[in-house]
Amino acid sequence: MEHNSGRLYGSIEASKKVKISLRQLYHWVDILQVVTPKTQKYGIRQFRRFTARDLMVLGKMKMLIEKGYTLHAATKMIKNNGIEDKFQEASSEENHSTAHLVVEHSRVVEELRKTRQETELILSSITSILIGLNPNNFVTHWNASAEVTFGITRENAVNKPLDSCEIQWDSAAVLEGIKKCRRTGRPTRINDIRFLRLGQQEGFLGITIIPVKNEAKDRLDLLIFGADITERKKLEQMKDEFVSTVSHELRTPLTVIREGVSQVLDGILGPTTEDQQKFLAISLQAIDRLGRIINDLLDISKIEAEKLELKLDLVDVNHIIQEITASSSPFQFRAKDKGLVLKANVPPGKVEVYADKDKLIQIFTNLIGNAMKFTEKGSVEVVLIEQADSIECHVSDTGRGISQEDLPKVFAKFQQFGRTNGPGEKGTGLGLAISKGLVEMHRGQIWIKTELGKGTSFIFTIPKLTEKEIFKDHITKALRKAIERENSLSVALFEVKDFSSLEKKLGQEKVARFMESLERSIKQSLRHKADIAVRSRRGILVILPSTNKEDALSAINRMEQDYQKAFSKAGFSEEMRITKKVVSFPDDGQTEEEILAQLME
Amino acid sequence: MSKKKILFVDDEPETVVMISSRLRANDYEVLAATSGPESIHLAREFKPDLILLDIIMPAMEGYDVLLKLKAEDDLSQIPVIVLTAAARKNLEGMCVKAGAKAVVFKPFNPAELLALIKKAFDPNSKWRRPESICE
Repeated sequence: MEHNSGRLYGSIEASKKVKISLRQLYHWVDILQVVTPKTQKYGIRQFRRFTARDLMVLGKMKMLIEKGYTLHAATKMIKNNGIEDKFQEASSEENHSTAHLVVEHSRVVEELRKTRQETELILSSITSILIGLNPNNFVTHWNASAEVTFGITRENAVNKPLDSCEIQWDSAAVLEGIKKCRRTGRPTRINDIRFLRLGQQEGFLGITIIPVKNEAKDRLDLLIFGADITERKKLEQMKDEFVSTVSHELRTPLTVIREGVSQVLDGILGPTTEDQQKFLAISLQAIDRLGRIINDLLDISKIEAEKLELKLDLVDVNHIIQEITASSSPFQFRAKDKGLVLKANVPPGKVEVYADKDKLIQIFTNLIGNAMKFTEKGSVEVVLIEQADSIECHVSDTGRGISQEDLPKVFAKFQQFGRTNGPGEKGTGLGLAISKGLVEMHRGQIWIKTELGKGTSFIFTIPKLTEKEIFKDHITKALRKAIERENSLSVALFEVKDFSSLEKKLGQEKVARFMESLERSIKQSLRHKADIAVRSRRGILVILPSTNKEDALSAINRMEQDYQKAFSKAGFSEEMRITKKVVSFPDDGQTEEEILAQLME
Repeated sequence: MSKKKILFVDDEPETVVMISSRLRANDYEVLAATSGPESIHLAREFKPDLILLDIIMPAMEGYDVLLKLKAEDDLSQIPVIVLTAAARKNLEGMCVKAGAKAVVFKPFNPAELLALIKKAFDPNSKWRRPESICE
């Protein structure tokens, strides 16, 4: 028997592990061929690794022999019974732990191999582009998706500096992102990077650069994950275009139809019979309803896409409610038609909140219209309650109420239930969904109290923002746009000097009238559509987008001349003086906090 | 007093028919053009008192018509009200800058358009801020 360790690879280790002599091992190995059929294939005496199973067989054999079995009997037993099932209970402590270690070791090795394989599989098959960079911006990883997207093979990219790979993309933007990521050590996201798909078609990438720590702390490896967002951008654009096209394409013919019908009805084109008029009137109502549905659809899609912008101003809610419920309002006519009472219950004086006046009117119109539709007799009442930090509006009716099972559907789109057949405007099924969206855009809440057969109340709240909050809100919005478009921005604040003492001396009402006059004059002096003037109780904030300090100062001077003229005409007291301040971005401040602090110091 | 002359420019014949009829019913004399070049020609020939101009038209965009009108000495004084169904954001500002009195978004309420026309003929009316009406 040859005892050459080279010929039986690992045999010394194997014999050590199972704790038998090498000689004994070789003797057994001959028998092993019977037990583990695989060995025959290679010829046991030649090159062959001892597998974990081999070692376990050896271990078990040793144990059996020690127990008094002959070699032949032990071989037969293993052959018949196998090793795994009975091995554990039969094994001695020592052999058990040895075999266990061996098994564990090989399991870990196998798992590592598997994990590595899996990782490579994942990296190569993810649809995202994945590029790895070392601290010197040399490419370390380049997956299949990167190959496909840029039309550059792995071999042509790996181990080269990123900027010599000739990727057809906006490399300045990418490099800036890489720099930022290295500087901050945080994942950096860049959207809308222009690139050429396969070097041909223009597209957009969204990439995220992720820092990966290596041994040297301040020198980061980077991973660039990228996704081709061209299709998504196209879809978004298509949706936007679709919405405006729908509005155009539907409204234009609708205008023509409406005009035609209404002119015939008005008798412009000659006399009509009573029956004809009746039919035309019904047609006109349906046309108007269609127009409302188009408007509502546009509104709800804008609200859902968060594209609707509120024009926040200091609004007197009391005044709005009084106008809507005034004796000359269309709602009063409808109430009279239906034999209902429409009334308002509001506190005396002004109740002001920052809100979009038109949207607030839209909410009330929807809620009151809804209440009147579902009320056959009794009343519809609008109640306004002023609280410390919010206002609460109730629109209550004495109608049929809403059943428990219908309640969850109330604010859903196109959910009409308990339809009415009587005369009057038909709904669009979107009014309450829009109202809810509008209330929530004002950071308020809306809810329902209802009792079947007794009536329903819709209640909504609008929080009262402080002067600082509302100014900050406006400045933040304008600043975001300015940064996006790399424009300048100027903000001016006009304040009444010694406001509190003036109020005491002349009375709140007089000062308020003065403020309104100032607001009116300033609003009239604004030159551009994007310019905004917002009034708070004691000051007026003017926002001038794309205006540098110099231009802003001359605009402010012009405004001052205008309001001085207006004041002398109105005969306001000389005591009312106005202080003004202008802060410009980026010269005076970079953030909304900085700008606000300088403005209100 | 003779009737006021209005030049109505819109590339859609149906709209022209309907709005012209409404304007005539309100005692205005109406000339209609359905293209840019035609509108310039009619403006020179008939010297209307007011022009209602649709902003999106093939061949010559209404905006170019507006610029051309404002560039001609004889025509620049004629008040122009822009009608549009376009939802382009800066359109209103552009048109007012180019000299339009007002921008009206389609579909408009005829009563409001008539009120605006009346205002355009009132020498005392003020047009400080761009006015826009839509339903």
